[in-house]
Amino acid sequence: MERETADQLETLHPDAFGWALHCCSGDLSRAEDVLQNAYLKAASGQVQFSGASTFKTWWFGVIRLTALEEFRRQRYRDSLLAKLWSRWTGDSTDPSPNPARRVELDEQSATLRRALSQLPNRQAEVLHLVFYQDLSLREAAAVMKVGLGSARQHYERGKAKLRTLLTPSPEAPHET
Amino acid sequence: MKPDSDLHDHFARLRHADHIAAPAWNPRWTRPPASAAREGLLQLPGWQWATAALAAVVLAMLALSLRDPGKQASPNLAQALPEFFDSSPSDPLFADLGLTGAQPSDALLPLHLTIALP
Repeated sequence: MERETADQLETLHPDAFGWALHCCSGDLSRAEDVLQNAYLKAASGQVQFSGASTFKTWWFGVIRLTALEEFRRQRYRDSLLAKLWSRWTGDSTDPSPNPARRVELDEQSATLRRALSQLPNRQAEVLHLVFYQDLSLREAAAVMKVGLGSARQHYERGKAKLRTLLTPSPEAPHET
Repeated sequence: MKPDSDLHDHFARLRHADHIAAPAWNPRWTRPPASAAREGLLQLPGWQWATAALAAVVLAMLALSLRDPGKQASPNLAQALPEFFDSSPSDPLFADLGLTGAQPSDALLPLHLTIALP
């Protein structure tokens, strides 16, 4: 891998982890796996930056694709056959994130993540890319592999719904 | 006031928390694996391996069928094989057991074993 590419990856690493975390629905251990697999793809030359978009847009697209692949593998692992196999071989893994790291997320962040998880996937993706990653709508559309108009529609609907979800309901029962 | 500043604030907090939780950067991640070329070869999709195996089997069967063209026309074995036994031998089948004095190979025997027959 070229030195310049490696430097760009290092600079983007924290945000790339945040994006991987979003793609993995907040699962820290899966996000780490996804990110390492994406780095492996880049290091072994399976994916190469062609310059057709910004480096960040390209890299986030790679991470998104890797997360989808990981999701398919995870679905297989969660299947009944795989569960039986792991029980027979005695190989069981805990899918929940490390508790020591979970406490590092403050309550407001957890609230936002919960709200995002209630949005349709596309809406949550575009909001994350725009507000969290500071991408433009056009760049977000490129990462999501959708048209600009579609991305804008997801963005507007997502914002409205997220505000509703984040606003505490006055009718919510209070604990005494 | 910046539009959507409320959402920006929420996401900024989430971003900060994620950065704390992010694993430290490891320069090894950007180095190509030692066996990248070999792995690239072995990481063919399963269907490609299956197709290659099927093609190899078909080629092997084709080569075998071309190599043995006389398989269909079986030869007349009675004519093809040589005759091992003579049905009417001119000499007796077994040599005569009668002893006829000294043999040429007697010189190879030790002296004390050489029995002079009357």
